[in-house]
Amino acid sequence: MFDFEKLDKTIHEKGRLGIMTLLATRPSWPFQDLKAELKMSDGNLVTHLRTLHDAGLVAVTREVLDRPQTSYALTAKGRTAFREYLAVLEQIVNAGKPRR
Amino acid sequence: MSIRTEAEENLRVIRSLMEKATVYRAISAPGALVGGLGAIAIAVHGIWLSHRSSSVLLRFALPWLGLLVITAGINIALLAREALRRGDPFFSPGMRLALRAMLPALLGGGAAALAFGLSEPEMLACLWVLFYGISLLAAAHFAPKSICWLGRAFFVAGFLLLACTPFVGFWPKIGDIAAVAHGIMGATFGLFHLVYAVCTWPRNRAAETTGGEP
Repeated sequence: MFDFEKLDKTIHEKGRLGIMTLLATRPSWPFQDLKAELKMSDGNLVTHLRTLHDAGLVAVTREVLDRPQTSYALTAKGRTAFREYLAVLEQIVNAGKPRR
Repeated sequence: MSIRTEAEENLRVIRSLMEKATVYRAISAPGALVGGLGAIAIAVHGIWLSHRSSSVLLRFALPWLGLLVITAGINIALLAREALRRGDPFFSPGMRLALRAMLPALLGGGAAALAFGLSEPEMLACLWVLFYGISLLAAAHFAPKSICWLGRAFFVAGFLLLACTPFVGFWPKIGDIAAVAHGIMGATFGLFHLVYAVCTWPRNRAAETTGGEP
């Protein structure tokens, strides 16, 4: 029987899963790009990002180039947690497949 | 929804988001800088020595193919270092995507070298510019904007050079054909790559990161 407790509940939520997935594709994402890609409201996105940041999965960088910009990236812990989450999903899918 | 269906649905969402969001920079700024400076050096040297009566292959095709090998090697080394820094495999999904998209047009440039490398360097230069532009544009849907602009610049330059040929007469009338070809290569592969390197060079920013190192 599969142990569902292995699923990281912080990542498993739909909105946060989308954020983690996007952050895994590039070194960093500006807030506005994340918002446009995920079609989330500012408040919703900020809340999810804060949860991920508090869990140590996401790093926040505030920088000033032409104008102030906040960008987000996976931390080493976040990258590992995302890989482990994917591995657990694959285990679940494979566990349900009929054996030959 | 069963946990397995939910897991399958989540994996589908993850795959689709990753495919949509993958951005791959196939040309690094330092690689472009080395390539651009090398191209200008070869072009100037080629034009300077264009009066020498050695074969077109020696005067034009071989120096440029040599530069291609050197800059491709440097670019691969820089991309590998960047992949290592991020903890990604060198043959990342992004790189595989880029190779699949760009390879046909790059092979077209290789075929043009076989067809015109010995006799018509000016045509070869125009076709290399055009094919290189097409290869960069083929990667446009997952490349950063700067690569798209570089691709457009090469494509437009190659297109105009080829399209204008019938109206300005044959290139040799302008001057020595190898010198003309070197000029085309220096003005495009040299200058365009230098502009790209300047525009995409990583800049020092005042930044404050919280939550751990990205």
